[in-house]
Amino acid sequence: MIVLGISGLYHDSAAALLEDGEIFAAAQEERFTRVKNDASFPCNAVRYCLNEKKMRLGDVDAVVYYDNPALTLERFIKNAVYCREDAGDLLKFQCDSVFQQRLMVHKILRNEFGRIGKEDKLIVSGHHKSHAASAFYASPYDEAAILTVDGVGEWNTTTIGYGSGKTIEIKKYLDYPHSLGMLYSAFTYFCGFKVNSGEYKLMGLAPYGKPIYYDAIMKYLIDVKKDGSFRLNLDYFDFQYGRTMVSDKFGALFAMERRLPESEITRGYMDLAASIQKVTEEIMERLASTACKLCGTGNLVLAGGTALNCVANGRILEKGIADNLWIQPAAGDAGGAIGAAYIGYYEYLGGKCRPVGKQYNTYLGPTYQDGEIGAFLKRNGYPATRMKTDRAERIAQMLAEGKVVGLFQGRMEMGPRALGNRSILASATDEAMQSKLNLKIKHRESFRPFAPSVLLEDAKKYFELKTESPYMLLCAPVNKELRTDFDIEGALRQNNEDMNKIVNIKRSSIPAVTHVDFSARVQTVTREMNEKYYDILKAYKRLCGESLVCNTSFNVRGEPIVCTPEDAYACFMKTDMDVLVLENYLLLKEDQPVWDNVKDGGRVYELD
Amino acid sequence: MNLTDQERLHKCVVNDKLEDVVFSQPDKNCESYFESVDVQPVLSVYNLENINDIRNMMNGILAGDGFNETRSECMRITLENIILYEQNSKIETKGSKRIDVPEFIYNF
Repeated sequence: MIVLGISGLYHDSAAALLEDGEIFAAAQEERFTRVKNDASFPCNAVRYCLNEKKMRLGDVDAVVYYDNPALTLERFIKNAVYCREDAGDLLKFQCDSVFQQRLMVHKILRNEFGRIGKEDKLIVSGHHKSHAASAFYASPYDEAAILTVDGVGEWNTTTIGYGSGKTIEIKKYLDYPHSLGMLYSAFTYFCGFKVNSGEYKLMGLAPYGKPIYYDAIMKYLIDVKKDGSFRLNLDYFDFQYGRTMVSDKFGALFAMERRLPESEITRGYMDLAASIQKVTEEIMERLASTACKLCGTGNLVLAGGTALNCVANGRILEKGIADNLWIQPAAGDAGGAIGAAYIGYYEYLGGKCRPVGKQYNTYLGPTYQDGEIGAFLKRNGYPATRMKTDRAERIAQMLAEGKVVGLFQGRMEMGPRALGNRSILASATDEAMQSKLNLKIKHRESFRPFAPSVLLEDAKKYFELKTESPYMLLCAPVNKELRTDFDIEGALRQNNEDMNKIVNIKRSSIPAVTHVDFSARVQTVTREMNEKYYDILKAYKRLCGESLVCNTSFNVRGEPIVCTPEDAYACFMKTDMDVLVLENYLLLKEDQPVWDNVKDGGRVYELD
Repeated sequence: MNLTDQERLHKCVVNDKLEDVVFSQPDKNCESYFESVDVQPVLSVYNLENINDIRNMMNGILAGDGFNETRSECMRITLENIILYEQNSKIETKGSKRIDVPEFIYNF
């Protein structure tokens, strides 16, 4: 039985194809359109999924959309009622997205693809139910508590559910406008980052500050109960009115103005970041605890955009709130497509019980064979050598020489993290590497750390990590014996709060992946999950004795992760990467022709 | 007299006798804000065809909550705008965004 799941028209549109209970293909629309977080209807992603099975939409057994447009419309209207005199403009502003698209999702499908499945009908699931399904059915557990937390679906912003076998029961919920995701996004906005794409930057900023505003947030902005449920004080927010995220009272509370994007990040914003991060961790811990107790289980699965906060996830594990924790790699809205597909299979089609304990494969996107790549290189005259059995050794040698390597292999990852198939790799022990990668490769604010990929069997040599972390969704402290003497407060004072200077101060023997609080966002690698990537890390270990490398996503700032060999080559040439690996082809920067970004079809991306 | 939407809404708000608490604020006295699910959400077939389907859907959704003038006015504005799109037969894969509206509003 084949089910197509679709998410989109809010942010991070995607499609996923499921066959007999297993996700066969999935991808985010942004990777095809090259528009970051693309909210457009995911025509390209749908086309990719169908092409993988050489099917038409009319051939699939069920097509499921991850959101109920009727309930979303209800929220819009009720929100408008709340806005009273200001409702007229709000309704008109939102008409474009609601009426052109969200209410018309079935018509878009028919226009683009014809018949909607064998029965020619579109099934709609619930937004948070889709998140819940994306986490539970993909997890290795036969039963688990399910916690979903995001900005908002139709109404729900938080749900607690219980999954067992092939059923999911939602037990508790919180509704808009009381949203932890919105709260975090409000601070993201106030600190000058982009809403719905900049939240992880706020998370990366937090370790530089102190949570001095924690009490003010808990007293004035949000009331949190012991069970983790909460309500926002709406007087401080403005997103209900569709004008901005926060009201004037918000800035007045902290005696600060909103930071302008790209302007200097001063101490006040670092402290705001630290404060909201502490609040978020506390709420997530309480919610996780409530979920496990309510469901009577130690297995916990997470999804929804807030589950991408890997620092909070790490705390849940560290404190033993759940015995076992699994997080959907595509925890945001893109993963809703995966959840919708699962729901279609189990609830609509009555699919069989699923295999339990199997490792979830998140490499679900397009792959390119050597023949295609060779033809691309030849057509454009890009010099390359073809590696054979010594592939892993040659790549490892480049890394050991301190080179920055763009790695393009296998199927593209589904979800926001690059996990070795669309990654830029570099030495983690090189003291200057963090700065080099930030400035010369990623072209981004340099306060943010890079993440390590490490062989699972050696992970405990480097990190205080209790479990494997295959999807880079857990933060863990760097082992104490690897740390050097470093004090963030002293460093801020001595360097006039200039994070660009502080980030280069050595903090451990793996400086490029150690944050200022000695934490790291870890990916553990096994042969089972990614054989080619595992072999590279093993070869690297044989060469220089280290089992880990920096792994950052293969893209420049503002660009989605690369999808095609063309994307990869353009990114390679626009940056100071030394080496590009396209499957078995090795390209050296010094051999390449001069790149003209305009003539060669490269794009300029809006900063995110 | 031709009133704007805003003027009409203001009149409704003034006329509404009851305080319409649409969204609750924090309440220090309650122990939990969680709502319990009484009926599990079910899958449904989505097939709105025309303005009447949308009107019926909206009436159905809001029927249980009691009407006041402000809500009726919001419904009217919504339906008027839907009619505009219905008449234009405009279905977009890439939604148009207004430059005077912050982009993130379209994400919610």
